[in-house]
Formats: sequence, C-alpha cells, structure tokens
Amino acid sequence: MSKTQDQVLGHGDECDGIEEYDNDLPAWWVGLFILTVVGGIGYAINYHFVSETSQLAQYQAEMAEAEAQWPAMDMTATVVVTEEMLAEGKDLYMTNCIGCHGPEMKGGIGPDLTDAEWVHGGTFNEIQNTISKGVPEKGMLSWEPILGPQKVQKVTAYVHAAGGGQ
Amino acid sequence: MSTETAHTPNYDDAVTKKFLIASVTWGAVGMLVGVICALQLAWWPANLNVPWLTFGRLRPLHTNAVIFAFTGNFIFAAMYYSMQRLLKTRMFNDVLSQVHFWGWQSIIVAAAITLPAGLSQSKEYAELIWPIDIAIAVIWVVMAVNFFGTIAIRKVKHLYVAIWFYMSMVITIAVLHIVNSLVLPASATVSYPVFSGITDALVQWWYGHNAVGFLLTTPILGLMYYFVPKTAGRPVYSYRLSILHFWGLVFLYIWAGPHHILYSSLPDWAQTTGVVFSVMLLAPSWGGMLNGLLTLRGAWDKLRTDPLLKFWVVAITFYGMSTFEGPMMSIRAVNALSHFTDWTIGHVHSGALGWVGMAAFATFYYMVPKLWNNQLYSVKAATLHFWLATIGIVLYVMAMWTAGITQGLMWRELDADGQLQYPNFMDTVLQLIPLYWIRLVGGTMYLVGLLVMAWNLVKTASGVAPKDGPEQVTAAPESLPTPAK
Amino acid sequence: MADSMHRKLIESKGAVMAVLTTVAISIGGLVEIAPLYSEALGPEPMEGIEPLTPLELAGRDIYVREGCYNCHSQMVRPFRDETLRYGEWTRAGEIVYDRPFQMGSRRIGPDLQRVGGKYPDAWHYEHMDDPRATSPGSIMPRYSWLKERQIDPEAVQASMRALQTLGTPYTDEQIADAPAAIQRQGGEIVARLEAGNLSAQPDDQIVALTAYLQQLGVAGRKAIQAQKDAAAALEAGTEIPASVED
Ligand code: HEM
Ligand code: HEM
Repeated sequence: MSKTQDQVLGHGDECDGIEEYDNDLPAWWVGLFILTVVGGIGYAINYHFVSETSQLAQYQAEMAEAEAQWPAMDMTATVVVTEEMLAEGKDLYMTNCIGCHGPEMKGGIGPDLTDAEWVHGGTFNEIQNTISKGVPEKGMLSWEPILGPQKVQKVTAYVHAAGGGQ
Repeated sequence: MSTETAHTPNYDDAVTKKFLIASVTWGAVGMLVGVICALQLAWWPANLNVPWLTFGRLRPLHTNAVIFAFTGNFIFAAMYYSMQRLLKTRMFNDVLSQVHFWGWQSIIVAAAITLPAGLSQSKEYAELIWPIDIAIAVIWVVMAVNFFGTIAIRKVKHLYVAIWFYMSMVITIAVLHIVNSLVLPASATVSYPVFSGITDALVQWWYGHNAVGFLLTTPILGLMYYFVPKTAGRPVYSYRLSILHFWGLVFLYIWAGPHHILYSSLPDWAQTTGVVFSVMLLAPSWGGMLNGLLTLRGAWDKLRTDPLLKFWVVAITFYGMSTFEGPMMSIRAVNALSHFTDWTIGHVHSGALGWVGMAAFATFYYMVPKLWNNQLYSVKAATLHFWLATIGIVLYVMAMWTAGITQGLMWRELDADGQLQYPNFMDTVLQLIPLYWIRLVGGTMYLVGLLVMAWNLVKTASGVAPKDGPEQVTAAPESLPTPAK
Repeated sequence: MADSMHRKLIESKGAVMAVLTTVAISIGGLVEIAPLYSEALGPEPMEGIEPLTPLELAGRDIYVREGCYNCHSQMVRPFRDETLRYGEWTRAGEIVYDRPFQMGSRRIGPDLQRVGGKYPDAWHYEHMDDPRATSPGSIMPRYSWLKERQIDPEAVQASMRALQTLGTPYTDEQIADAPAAIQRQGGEIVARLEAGNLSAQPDDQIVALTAYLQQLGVAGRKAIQAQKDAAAALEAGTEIPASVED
C-alpha cells in the first residue's frame, strides 16, 4: 500500500485541465481511519454494555463521592467562631451584601445591621436562617443555594460579630 | 468528451461576477457586525440602549450574514465559475441563474431588516422567520434545478470531484432547511415549530452541525479541488483518497449533530452516536486536508512569492486543525469543559476565519484577474492582507481558547469545603474582559485585511496597470508527467 | 479496482451520484431523530408540568425576540458543580412544551433554566432596566424599553391557538380568557412591584418577561422532588403518597 508514484490518470480533458494522480491512500491515514472507527465502536460498546454506565450513573457517583468527602453540614450545631472565619466572612460580606446593607452595615436597601433592632431575630441561628432562606417578600435573596452552607455560616459569623448580634 | 469545445468562452461569467461582488460586500458588513458584537462583549455601553443594536439581536445578524451572505455567495461564485468550466457548458438556464442571484440577495436584505427588528425563531443559523424560510426553500430549488440541469447538458462524461461536493451541498442543505423549518405560523412573523423540547433541540443541531458540514465545509472542499490544482499548476495528489474521503464525509457528518447537546436530556444512546461519529469524522476530514496540502507538493517554492498559495496553505491547515479540534470537543469529558464557553467560539472562528475566510480570499484573488481579464493590481497589498488576516486569526483564536478554558475551569472549581470557589457568576466573567479586547483587535485586523482586498480587487477589475510589475500571481500549469496508460 | 468501478458506475451518471448521496445523508438523521419523534419513545411531560400562562407565553416571545438565548442557556447539566450553582439538572419531561426549545449553546451569562423564584420580581425589573444596578460589573445590555412597551393580548391568543393545534393542551376557554388572565397575573406582579416602590402596568413587556422568568424551572423542581420523595418512600418501604403515584 501507499505507493507514491505520481502517475497521472489522464482525466485532465474532462476536468478543465486538472490532472489527478493515482497515488495510493497514505498508510497512516488508513490506519487513523481504522483506529477511529474501531475505537469509536469500542467506546460505545464499553459505555453502554460493558461498564453499563450512563450520564445519570456518573452523576450519582459524583454526588455520592462528594457526600462522603464533605458530609452535609448540621447548620443547627453550635459553631466555634475563629478569626479565619470572620476574615472570610468579611470578604463574603464585602462582595455579596454591601449592595443592600452598605459597607458600614448601616443599611440602604436593606436594614441597618448594627442597630439593636433585628427584624428577623438577632441570635446566631436566627441571623443564619435569615441569610440562608432570604426574605423574598422584602427582596432579600435566599443565599444558601448561592453561597453554600459553609459560606453562609462564615458570613453569619461576621455579621453576628460586627453587627452586635445577641 | 468533445475536445473541440474545450475552450468555449461562452460561459456565464456575469453571474459569477455578481456573486463575487455580493460576497465581498456582505462579508464586510457581516464581519463589521462581528466586530461590533466583539466590542459589545468587551464594553457593554456599545449596546447603546437601542433595541435593534443590542447583542442579542446583532449576533444572529452576524452569523447569518457571514454564513449565508458571505460564505453562501462565495460558494455560489466559485461554483458557477468552476462547474461551467469543468462540465464544459454554460449554465443550464440563465434566467434561473439570475433568479438565484437576485432571490438570494433579497433574502439577505430581508434578513438584515428582520433580525435587528427582533423577528426571530431563535434556532441558531435558522433564526429567519417563516416567510423568509419559504423564500429560501424556493430559491434553493431554483438553484438545484439549474445545477442538475447543467449536469444533464454537460459535455464531459465524468463528474469531477468538485462537482460531487457541490452536489452534496445542494441536496443536504435542502433536506436540512426544510425539516428544521417545519413550523405552524401564528401570524405573519411569529411561528412555532412542529417539534418541541428535546426533539426540537435534536432536529436543530442535526441541522446546525450539518449547515456547518455542508455549507462551511464540503462545498469549500469541492472548490478547493478546483482552485488549488489550478493555482498551483499541480495535479491532485490522490484520486482514490478523494473518493474515500468524500463518501466518508457525506455518510458520517449527518450523525454528529448530538455533540452539540451532550449532557442534556437527550437519551444516552443518541449522545453516544454523536460522540462516536464525530470522532470517526477525523480521518475523512483529514483526507481533504491531505489532498489539498499534498497537491501543493512541488509548488512550495512558489509559496514565497504567490500570496494565493499562502492563503491556501493557511486555509487548509486551519481546516485540519479545526477538524481535529472538533472531534476532540465531541468527547464527553472534553465537552463537559468546553461546552457553553468561548472555547466553542474559538473553534468556530478557527474554522470560519481560518478555513472559510482564507479559502474565499484565495479564490477571489484567483477569479477576479481571470473574470475581468486583468492582472492583480497589487501583490504587495495581497501579501499585507495575508498577514493581517493570519495574525488576526491567531489573536482571535488564542484569546478565545484562553477565555474558554479559564472560565470552564472557574465554573467547576471547588473550595476546601467542597463548595463553589466562584459562586458569583460575575467573577468568572470579569476574568474574560481583557481577552475580549484582544479578540476585538484580532477581529478588526481581519476585517481591515478584507477591506484591503476589496480595494485591491476593485483596482484590478477596473484595469489599473499592476502596481508591482507584471509577472506575478498564478503560474501557468507546468508540463505534467504523461498519463499512466 | 474500486476506483474504476466508481468512475464507471457513479461518476459518469449524475442521477446515480445524487441518489447515493441522498441515501448516505439520510441514514444518520433518520436513525437518531425518528425514535424521539415516535409516540412510544418521545418524552412525556412530568407531573405538574403545565403549558405557560398567556402572560408567561408573551414573556417567552419577548425572550426569543430579544435573543436572550444568545447569552443564556436553559440546560443545567448533571454535574455537581452545576447542581450547586443552578440546581437540579434539566429533565426532558420539563421542557416538552418548549417551542422552540431554549437550551442555548452559550453561557455569556448564567444558565436560566431554574432562575424562577431565585430573585424577587423587583430584582428582575431593576435588572432588566439596568443590569449593573443588581449585578455590578455585568456586561449585559440594558432593556429599559421593556418598561415602556406593552404586549398584545390578541397576538398571545393567536400564539395559543397555533400551539393548541400543535398539541399543547390549551383549552378554548383558556384562549378566550387570555386577556383577562394577563390582567390577573400581571396585576399580581404589579402589586409586588409597587410594594417595592416600582410602578408598572399588568400588560407591560417587563411584567410579561418577569412572569416568564419567575416560572422557569419551578414546576420541574417540584416534580423532581416528588419523584425523589416517592423513590425514598419506596426504599423505606412505606406507602407512596397518592398524589405522586398517579
Ligand atoms: C471580523 C471577523 C469576525 C469577528 C470579529 C467575529 C466576532 C464574533 C462574535 C463576537 C461572536 C459571538 C461570540 C459569543 O457568542 O461569545 C461571533 C459568533 C459567531 N461567528 Fe463570528 N466573527 C467574525 C467572523 C466570522 C466569520 C467569517 C464567520 C463564518 C464564516 C463567523 C461565524 C460565526 C459563528 C457561526 C458564530 C456563532 C458561534 C456559536 O454559535 O457558537 N464569524 N463572531
Ligand atoms: C470533524 C469536524 C468537526 C467536528 C467533529 C466538530 C465538532 C464540534 C463540536 C463538538 C462543537 C461544540 C458543540 C458545543 O459544545 O456546543 C462544535 C461547534 C461548532 N463548530 Fe465544529 N466541528 C468540526 C469542524 C468544524 C468546522 C470545519 C467548522 C467551520 C468551518 C465548524 C464550525 C462550528 C460551529 C459554527 C460551531 C458552533 C455551533 C454553535 O454552538 O452555535 N466545525 N463543533
């Protein structure tokens, strides 16, 4: 196979003078073609019949693995607030919350967080709950689906500490 | 068959000229809109708070203009030019040719009005509203009649490979367009497709992928088989390869659509067919690349002086590259990262700017001197165009790859608690802005190159004496080895 | 050799070439598409998935008109990171009434398939008027004209009739009632906007678009939860709640 003799076929008078060589298919090209066909069919057989996987099965495996690595948080358990948490919580506040509650927590669209009044309760758990679930009727988002429980807890720690929670 | 009519000058080149002019003109418009879209992504105030200038309405205008107006007219110009010469006959019917031309341009004008007006069906590359869809179908049939009529009255016995590829376009686009446009009108401008949900998605991407396959790929391969050997004065590398990769492409392409909706609710088996057939497309695609590049064997020395060959080499190389990238992106694990990101946009434009655009430019530089019977006005300007375009593509594509991979990784990055590292989508967008500016620069260079070409071609057509000496572009065919028999 | 056969039998006959090409390009599409289009294998609507209300339908047509799909997908993929970011992955049974489908191919902005209920109505109102007001740094265009233009109830009725013909289960009563339904649902949204000191009319385009966005993925989320509860109940060996069973 794969001889490159550069013999023209003599089609020229039917092709506006364009000639064609009778060169063979390049061997590596044939090899590539066979490889992709065999590989492709092999992949399909393996996917559906040998490992019998599916996108759903793979998704469930991914979720289970994550569940094992990062078990669901118990949001009601008492938290030991660390300096680290407060620092991260502050960062989160500055990117997500200042739009409504202001850089000094003095409020704006949302209420003042430094005064003594807590519209939805001022204990750690109550603040956390407000942030998690949001206050849709007043326009505050439910943050847990956005930030995830850990970050909600961190920002709660910051707000509770800096805002003088109960 | 009849050698005595070999050089009948009675070809309808007037219609070719018209298609060529239309392609360059719409190309400039479509790419200008592309540049505006690129600016809007880098700098949102460019949306100007005017409904018909917002990105959501201009992007379809860009895609439709470059695909159907720039590429479409380019293909028709090259097809009318080459098939008359290959079949040694004038087109079957001049009236049909004229109807095809004016019909197609009217459709484009209608598109340019309706899309910014917000009249859209929202299916990518099939956004046009139903009355325009009907017009497209009618004009396409007119072209098909003319096409097959010309084949019927041909003066040669065998059909050259270029014609096979054109034929695959004529047939396939008709089927795709009609099925994907099956809708029930609710008014003159609003309609709803007969397919719904995931089935509608599958039909759309069966259409969408093959619009790429049978508009942006196969007809251009066909005209490559005419213009490359003509430009280089060399025989086609392998006839056998052309047969095999042609049938490989037409059979395999049509299956690959589901690679656009991987990890959707499309059944797994259908997704798998999309993956597998996309991977199988690699070799038939590269068959075209090989036949193109290897035809240039022995013409490499001309590459330094002849800008046409430069354009072809880059075009074919980008074709090879995007048809390697495409099958890669069809692999489930890769698509999981690339899908929805700018990586797709990089892939699209390495095909569109690299392959389609460069092939078009090479073809225009070939045809204009022949059609207007003059020498190319400025080889230097053509070389400048080449470098503007090539550097523009590289900037565009590199920026988009970087943007796509960056954003794809940021979306999935987790923090130590197993939560999203970047829960704010905006964080992942802000990373991309500098890259969007680079893309804007690349795209602008490409557009400027096109304008340089337009100027050069106008000068050529108007018969101004060549600027940098006579003997330049497109060597005459060399003497060839004798036939095997 | 095969070459000479090809030359003799195919290349010399345009009709043969055309027929073979047509056959070659037809097989793939038929094998992939026909099964989905058949009654037996095509997707069924999930429990509780209903066609859009007239106001939501008008909003959807605005979504299509403005080309939102150019930047926003409506297809959450089955990956954990997407579940965290957007919610449950998108089921076929949730989008059966989508004509045309809106899965999209780009995420210049975030996925919207489950955006319903994520933000209050006022958020959408302000966001569409100027995206930077709610999302600093956003590159999305302003759509302030949606506040000034109204939807056409008669056009909505025409759309509903067309969809009904195609098989969307709208009743004639629903179609006749559409203008009133628009006022009712739009009025509820306007009331919520007014609570936030924003003013609008029930048939404003911004209200229709908000109605469309606020239902995205909501019924699907409930249906998926119901399926999960049913599965969990089955596993626990308890009775399946009657509402889920049928
Ligand atoms: C001056 C040159 C060009 C510029 C600056 C440009 C710019 C753009 C931009 C900004 C987008 C939207 C990207 C996004 O969604 O993020 C786009 C999309 C697109 N462009 Fe271009 N473009 C150019 C030339 C072309 C050409 C010549 C073609 C085809 C022959 C083409 C085909 C497309 C297609 C098909 C899409 C849609 C891709 C998709 O849906 O994923 N473009 N272009
Ligand atoms: C063997 C050849 C090819 C394969 C298998 C292939 C595969 C792909 C894949 C996997 C995607 C991404 C789909 C997604 O994630 O959304 C894609 C997008 C695209 N490709 Fe290719 N590609 C090939 C060649 C080409 C060439 C040569 C061109 C242009 C001339 C091209 C133009 C496009 C366009 C326009 C899109 C964007 C579609 C959209 O999202 O709107 N492709 N292709």
